[in-house]
Amino acid sequence: MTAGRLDRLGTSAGFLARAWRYEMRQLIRTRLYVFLAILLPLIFASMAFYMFRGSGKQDAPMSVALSAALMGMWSSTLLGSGNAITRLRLMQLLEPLVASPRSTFLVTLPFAIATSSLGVYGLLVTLGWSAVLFDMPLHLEHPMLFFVAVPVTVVALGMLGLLMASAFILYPTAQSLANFFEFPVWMLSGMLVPISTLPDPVQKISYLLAPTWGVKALTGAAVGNGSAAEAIGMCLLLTCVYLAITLLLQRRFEWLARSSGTLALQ
Amino acid sequence: MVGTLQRNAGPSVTWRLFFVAGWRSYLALFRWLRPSAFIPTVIGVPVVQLIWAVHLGRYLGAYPPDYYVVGNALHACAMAGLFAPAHSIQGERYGGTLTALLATPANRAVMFSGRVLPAVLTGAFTSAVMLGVGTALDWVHVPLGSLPMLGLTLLVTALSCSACGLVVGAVGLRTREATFLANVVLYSMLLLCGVNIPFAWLPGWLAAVGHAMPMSQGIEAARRVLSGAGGAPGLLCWELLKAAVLVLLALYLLQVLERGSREKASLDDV
Repeated sequence: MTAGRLDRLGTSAGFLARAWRYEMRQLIRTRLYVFLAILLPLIFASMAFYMFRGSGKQDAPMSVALSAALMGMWSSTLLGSGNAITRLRLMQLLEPLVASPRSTFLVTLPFAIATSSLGVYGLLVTLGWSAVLFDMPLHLEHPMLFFVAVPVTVVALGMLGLLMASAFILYPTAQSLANFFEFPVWMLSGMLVPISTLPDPVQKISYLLAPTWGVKALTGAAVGNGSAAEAIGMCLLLTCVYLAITLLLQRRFEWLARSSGTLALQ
Repeated sequence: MVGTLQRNAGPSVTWRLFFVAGWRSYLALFRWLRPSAFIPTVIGVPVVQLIWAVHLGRYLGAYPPDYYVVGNALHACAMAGLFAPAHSIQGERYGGTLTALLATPANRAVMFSGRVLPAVLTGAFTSAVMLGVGTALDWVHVPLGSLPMLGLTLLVTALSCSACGLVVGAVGLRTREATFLANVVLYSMLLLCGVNIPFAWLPGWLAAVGHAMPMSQGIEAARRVLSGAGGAPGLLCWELLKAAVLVLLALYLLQVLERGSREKASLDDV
């Protein structure tokens, strides 16, 4: 690798870290995101525990709590990634950012990763909440795998959010579609309800979603059911696939938005 | 000779303020009601929520699908009911028109109540569509004879949710957190109002909070109407009472918070 290329890589990594920190600061000062990342998983966890206990279903409490935390993580990632582009559009910053020499992918990536990393806080709070209020035993079968699975799942969710949010660059009204994908991804990824309950053709779609493997990785590492290492590997693989698709889509959408002049539209 | 003041005074302007201004404000929420923004928000999200809830309910196996269909269909009206009135005030702030709006001598009660009506109608329509989806998927059976009472139940529940949305909107006069509050209420309803969890499964104090929130009696009334059990009119009276209290609270808050926002010059904060 040439020195020039290494220099560019270092500059991009520095930009990503600074943009991530800046976005995190913005998010933790916005009550809506704090609600999405922290309070929402608590509401989901409470709802799940009351439903599972009331119905007498004997699922592992840790698995229920992790599903609830991931539901909140996905909600905040989906809304956060889309809102970031809408916010740039409203502040009339999308046009100059797209016009800048830095790739649009690098500009938008920190938004998605920041919203999903806020979900880590939600995950910890949810586990604490479930342990204190619902007597969930705080025991991890494979702690090392669990601590690897968390960042891998965060990045995977962030990349899926970014892939979906790519359309927001082109279509100003696409933000209204964001909420639409909240429940289907919960259902297809096996959050709270195992994907084995879905019809066979639908299960094939589930396996293409990184959150499915994120759920498997986290619950596998925490409860010890299934191979967490394999799930982490699949999660990483799908993240790379999403990355490639997002790069292609964003390039295409950016060109279309530039040529149709929709970047400044609200 | 009739001047501008005389032409724009009296009952005609009150009706115009209530219906026309309320409707235009509602259209503006969806950037003049573009189907590409309206349909996914008002119909799309509740449909996928309904399918998810039935899927979860079937896995738990405690109640038949119609329990979840009715709960989530009624919860669907909360989306329009809470966010439309709340955003209609927040939207004025972001659009920079809130100051101009409050500088007019228009009757505040009429002006803001007019913004509730489209939300009530949309909310009731959304719930009806969700029940239609449930019927089409054979998850719920709606007897023809129950339709008038069911329609009334949907309207009363949507009114109650919209009144709560007006309270949230009133808070939005003073703060920028109307969206945050509307989200808190919307998701709390999912937990506390008997949408997916029967009150008997909740701790006593949480169930009491749920009973006091909008929509809980409406959901129970809809379940009774569909099952043919009695008691729905009494439950609807409770829901109407809650709506009336919330409307009065919203009008009071609008008056007080408008005065406070003028004094603190916070109307233009975005």
